[in-house]
Amino acid sequence: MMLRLFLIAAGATVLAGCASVPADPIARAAYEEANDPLEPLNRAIFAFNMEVDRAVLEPVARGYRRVTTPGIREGVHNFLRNLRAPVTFANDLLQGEIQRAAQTSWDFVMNSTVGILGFFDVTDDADWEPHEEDLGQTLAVWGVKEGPYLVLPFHGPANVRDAAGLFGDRYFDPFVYRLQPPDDARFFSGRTVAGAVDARERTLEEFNELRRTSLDFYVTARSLYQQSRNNQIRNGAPAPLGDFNLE
Amino acid sequence: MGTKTHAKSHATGLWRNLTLAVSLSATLALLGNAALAAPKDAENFVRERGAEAIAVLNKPGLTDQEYAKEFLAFVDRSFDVPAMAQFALGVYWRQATAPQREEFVKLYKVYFINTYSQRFRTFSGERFDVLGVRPVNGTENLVQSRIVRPAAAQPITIEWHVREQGGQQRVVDLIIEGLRLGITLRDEFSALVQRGGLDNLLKALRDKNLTFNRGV
Repeated sequence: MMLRLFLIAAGATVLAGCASVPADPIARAAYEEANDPLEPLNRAIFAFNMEVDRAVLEPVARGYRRVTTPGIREGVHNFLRNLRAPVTFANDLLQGEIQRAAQTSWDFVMNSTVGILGFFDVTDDADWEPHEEDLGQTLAVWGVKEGPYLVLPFHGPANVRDAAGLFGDRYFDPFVYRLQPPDDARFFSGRTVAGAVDARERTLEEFNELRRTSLDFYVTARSLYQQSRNNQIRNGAPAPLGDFNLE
Repeated sequence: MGTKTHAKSHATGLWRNLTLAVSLSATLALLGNAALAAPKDAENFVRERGAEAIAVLNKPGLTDQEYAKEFLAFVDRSFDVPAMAQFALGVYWRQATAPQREEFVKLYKVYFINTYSQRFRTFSGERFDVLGVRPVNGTENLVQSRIVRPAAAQPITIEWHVREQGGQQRVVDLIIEGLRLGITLRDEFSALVQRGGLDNLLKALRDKNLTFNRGV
């Protein structure tokens, strides 16, 4: 119900207009660099998400921190990360990253068994850092363009490519095939909520500090999202030298 | 007689050519060394300043005020703040008048110090490693480094964009886990200028700086 109302409102905002393309060449360059033609709509959804955060997610994250110990939270975080391993593995393969796929599967097998369903990270002494992959990154590696920036309700920053990836990644998840309705829906929504609370708790200070000090939190979030996605797509490798021009 | 003079002049000519060749190659070698020394200097600069920064971050029982003071001193010694400010203003720097530029650089410094001092405060670690250097051009280098953290926490990757000017190295940007400080600020500033001109940005910075109460 809430979501339907929201979608209607969102649709109305789309019709009400995209950001107008500026005529001035400098303003136009800035407009293109931001890659955000749907900015008015995105800002509305961003404001909605911030409201959900203020009313629900942040209080729940604080409550979660109050009633758990760091050890328990670490276990939950490990468990959730381990659940994502099959999707990462599939995307490692799709990107032709055989070595990283082997690392992912080794971590998954060890942590799921010796690490008791992933609660304990028994492979943190390995020679590699754990990593995550998703279909959005795979599409980028394949050369698919990112498309306009999007803010998704209840989710946050994305772009067209990442939104498609988000949808497609479900089909790499073995749990889709193992669970029958309505268990699958329960599983996925449960995992999504747990993942959101875990992520919010882990960044309580940083997130709030960023929000407090930003001149325009919407733009900060957009800039950081675009940069961090590019960093993930490069698998953390340094940016090309051509990007560094002081002028 | 004639041949003798000729031989002599030939010998002097040879000698002259030889000295010329030697001095030329010496000059070239010196120039070459200077060009090669720059990345090494940048690397050493980052190694030294990074270790200093970690030492401050690891100091136990530092009050907010003491920390803010240490941070400001560190920025003054190691960063080229006017260059960072100019980069963050991007194309609008050229449109700004001299008084606007001057005010912007001042506001930028206060904003940068107050915003990033707290963000950096979580970067305490066990060890600071310099991993390598990439030259951008004759005076600028990108130095890769890593803060190794205790227990299971993942290391933080920091790339330092360093520029040499008048024989001194200065930080002009930091790239933390692939996020460029200069780009993040430039995107934000650009959005504010687009919405209400340079004065809108200056006003937003002035207002925001008033909300900081940690001195500086």
